[in-house]
Amino acid sequence: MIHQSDAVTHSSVDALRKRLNEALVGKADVVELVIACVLAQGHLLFDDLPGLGKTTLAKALSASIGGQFARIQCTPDLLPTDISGFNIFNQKTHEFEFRRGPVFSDLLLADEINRATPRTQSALFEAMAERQVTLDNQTMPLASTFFVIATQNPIESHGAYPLPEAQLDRFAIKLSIGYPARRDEVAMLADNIGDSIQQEAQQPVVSLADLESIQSAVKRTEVNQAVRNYLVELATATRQHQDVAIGLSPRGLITWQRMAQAWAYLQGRNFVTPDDIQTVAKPVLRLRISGGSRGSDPVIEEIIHSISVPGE
Amino acid sequence: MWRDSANSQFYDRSAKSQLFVPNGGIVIAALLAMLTLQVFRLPGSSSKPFVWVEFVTFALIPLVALLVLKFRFSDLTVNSISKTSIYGFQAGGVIVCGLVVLWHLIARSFHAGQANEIMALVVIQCAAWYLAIFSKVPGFERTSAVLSSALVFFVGCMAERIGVFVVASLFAVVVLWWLLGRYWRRMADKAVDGRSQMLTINGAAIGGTTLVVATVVFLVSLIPLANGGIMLEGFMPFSGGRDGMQDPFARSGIGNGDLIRAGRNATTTGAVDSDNFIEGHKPSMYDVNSERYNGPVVRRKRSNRTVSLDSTAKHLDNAKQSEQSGRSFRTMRESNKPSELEMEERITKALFFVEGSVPARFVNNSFHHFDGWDWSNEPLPRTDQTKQLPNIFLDKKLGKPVYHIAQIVSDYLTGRRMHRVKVMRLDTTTLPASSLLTRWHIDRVDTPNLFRWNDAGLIRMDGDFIPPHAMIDIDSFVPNYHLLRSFGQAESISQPKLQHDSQESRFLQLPDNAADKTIEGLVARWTTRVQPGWSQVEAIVDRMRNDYEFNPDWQRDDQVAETVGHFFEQNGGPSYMFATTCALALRKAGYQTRLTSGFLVQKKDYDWKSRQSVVTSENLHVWPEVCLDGKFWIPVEPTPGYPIPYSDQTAWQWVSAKVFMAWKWVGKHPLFSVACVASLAAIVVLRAEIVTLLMLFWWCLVKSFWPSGLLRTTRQLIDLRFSLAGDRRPRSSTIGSWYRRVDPDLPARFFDLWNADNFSNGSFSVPKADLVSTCREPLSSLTFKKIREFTSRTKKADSV
Repeated sequence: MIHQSDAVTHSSVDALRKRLNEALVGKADVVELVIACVLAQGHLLFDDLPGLGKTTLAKALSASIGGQFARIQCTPDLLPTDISGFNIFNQKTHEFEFRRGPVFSDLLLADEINRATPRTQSALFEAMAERQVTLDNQTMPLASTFFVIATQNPIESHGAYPLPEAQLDRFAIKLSIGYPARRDEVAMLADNIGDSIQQEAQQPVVSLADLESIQSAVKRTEVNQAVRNYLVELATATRQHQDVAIGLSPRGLITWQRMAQAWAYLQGRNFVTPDDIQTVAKPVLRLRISGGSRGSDPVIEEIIHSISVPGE
Repeated sequence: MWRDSANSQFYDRSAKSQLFVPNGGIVIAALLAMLTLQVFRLPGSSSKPFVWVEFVTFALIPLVALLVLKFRFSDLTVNSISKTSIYGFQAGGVIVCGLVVLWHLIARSFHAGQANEIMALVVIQCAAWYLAIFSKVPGFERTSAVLSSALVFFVGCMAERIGVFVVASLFAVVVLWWLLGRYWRRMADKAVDGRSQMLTINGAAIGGTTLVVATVVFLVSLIPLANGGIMLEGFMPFSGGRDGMQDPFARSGIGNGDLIRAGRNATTTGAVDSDNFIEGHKPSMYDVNSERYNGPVVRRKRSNRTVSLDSTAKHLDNAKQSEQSGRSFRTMRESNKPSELEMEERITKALFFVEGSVPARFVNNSFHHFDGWDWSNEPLPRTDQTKQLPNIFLDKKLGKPVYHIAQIVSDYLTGRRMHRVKVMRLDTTTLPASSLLTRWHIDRVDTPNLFRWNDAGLIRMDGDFIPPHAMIDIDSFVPNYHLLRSFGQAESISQPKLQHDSQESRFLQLPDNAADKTIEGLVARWTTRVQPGWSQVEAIVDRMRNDYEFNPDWQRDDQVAETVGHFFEQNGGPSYMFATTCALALRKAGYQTRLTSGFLVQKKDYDWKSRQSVVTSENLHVWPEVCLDGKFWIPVEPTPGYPIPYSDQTAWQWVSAKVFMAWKWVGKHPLFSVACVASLAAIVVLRAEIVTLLMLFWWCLVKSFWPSGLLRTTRQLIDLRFSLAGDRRPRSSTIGSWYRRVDPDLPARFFDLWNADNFSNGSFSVPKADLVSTCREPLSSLTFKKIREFTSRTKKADSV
């Protein structure tokens, strides 16, 4: 079912998959979703405990994709201009010059994003949604492959600023890595994997041109009318569920479709199936649906179980 | 969580989303409402087992439906329920209510039904119960509470029995409990997100309030409602009484037999449109059954008729007992107001009333000798009578006296039919009943030898006439005309004996006159090529109905010709001419026949309002009856325009006839029957395997003839295997995710093809051989056995 023209780009994806699986052992499902998020041109939020490999995976991803990589370590004293850049007066030329911030990169890692103040977090809004930065009435476009990976620690609430709903909606998916299996943990220790990553991190396996080409191929992945209807019914169900305060937004729905397209592409198909929709449902909806005390996952399962799949 | 140990079921949020877990409080309330109505109904019902069977049946129906739906749609929750599903649940309620109505209509044919008002209350009761069982469906819980409350309130107002008030008090307590629970639930729902939802509930306060309310309700219930004797038994006309007590000896001849009972000091008596019970001097059934029957008639003191309760309540203190109370158990009230109508104007025209299915025939007399002009009823020789007429004996059934006719057994009398007759002005001793009467019952009449055979071979009562207002329950056989017609084909039963061997029988007697030749010719023509037996009887009757014209105004001219000749000359006549001619034709063909006069009750006589038929002199009719096996008389109807006997066979009669036939057949073929039962048992045990095998056969057919549908058929077959293994695929699960639970290594080819076929707009073609092999892979991998093992393993793991 794969287009002949896409065969080359698929080899790049395989290489990326291999690299990331080497960096994060035993988490093939997480890796697959990370790649899907990159291909869907979405932004990724890691929400997990410290030391589980969030930053490692983000760094491995940045190293695997050619292009400029930037990292922000978010703290409460971080300023918006530390992200977007600022104008500085050049005494020689008697003019203001713009000093670009880390947002002008191809891949931005915002570590511990919930430690930055809301004001600083907001500096990322425009960049994430519109891939551009406006400063002093000047709008500057970002790279077309601009991609944000943010991490946050869910257990430390002291000195943390939870991301507002509007900011969350700009991420495509939220992932948790979780502890590795015992077998993988033993293998990780035996292989001393950390060193090998550092050695290979210097060599990207996917060029920016290839990434752009893959992303456009993902956009072309076909979504059948029945599948689209299914997606809309699911979105409506999120809005009608009594445990969901705010249902899925249209932007969230578009993101869901794009993620499903990317997932279908990764499975080697050029059309989306209900399986793809269901597979990416939890990562996409966890960001957007709060199940209250029950948690979002049971609510998402209820929503999926409430709608019949097409093609029966 | 806000949970209280005492009332947790009312506001446990975790159970809130489970659609098929009813709210406990409302279920108990609805159950108590049902019990309240039961306690109210039972004393006035004619058949208590019927009421209990109804109660249990309609209590179980929603419960069974709940369990089935819970099993079938386990993934359905309150949150995910669609509008269509809600409509479905509402339709279910309507169906249950319809079943209640149907149940009552059917029960009426067994004389166990009740008044329309009671039926309406039962419908409300069942609706409330159904809604309570499915109380998680939006709107059902409140509606059930409203219906239950309305029911209990209404019944509480209508009854004055302590039992009703006790159950109603319990209901009030439970509803209060439910309301409190509902209040807390709503409070909790309004809690602000992020705040603690711990609400303090003082269980002692709830319990104390409930106890106080219950005590007050109980004390109020002890206060008598009224001093007057207002007692409505099933909303039917009643006889009342000052103290509301029932006098069992006051039943005979009053009201409607067993159903209605009079009070000790009755202030209203008599039939609806006649007061002749009070004013008349005829003995009642009570008199007939008492030792003073046939004693000197004491003329009763004339008095004005009694009037209804309400308007006379203030005069009750002045009421005094009649001097005739020893005989007639009535209370009369002296009044100076003269009656506006004369007695004759108020006497009903009805000879008797009939409850039960119509058309029906009630025999009054029968004749066997015809001299060409007149039918006569010469007494049969004593030896013949003894030989032919069976004994009548008195028996008791459920404590009630029942008269039986001994040895009424025939393979052709498979159905039963019951009627209730209320005699009004029928001045005869002959019991108004079918010729195939088998037993009858009159409340409290248990005098042996009260009924005998008369000269015409009919049952008569001793005395001058059957007393007016006597209520007689009649049970008769219904001949199975289908069996009679097909005799000789049904090997399991003996052939009916219709034709008499000897021409000397009195029921084959023919007059010697000119019409004899005509009849002989006609009979020969009509019965040619018709199989002897009932088919010939029906052939003759059919020709009579089709070839001649019915005209009640044509009369016989004694000067011109005898009856039959005149009938042929006119080419028709009134019903007695049809009956006479037909009887003679049947006799000519060799069938023992007699002429019967009686009352034909038709549909037009049925009064829907009172659910009974009014029989007057206009119902008089004449018809012939053919003798079966020398002792049973089967009616036939030769007059055009009149209903063929039992042509409107009830469903029950049809079913009972079929069951009887099946029973006979089983007795005739025991080995084959055992083999059939064993086969059926095997089919039941191996039903899953058989169904999957059949489906596999269908798959092979599709593969051969309609390969384009093979993908879908494969999916259907595998889904069927899952269903039969008790692991039905939910509609929200894709086939890939569901099938791979059993075998994660299932080849992807089938799913790829399925997805491409369903979700890709592009066209693709697969060679038939590849398609078949691709579809065969999951079929051979997901065998029924494998799925069943997986399901049992999963269930075991879940239970652990």
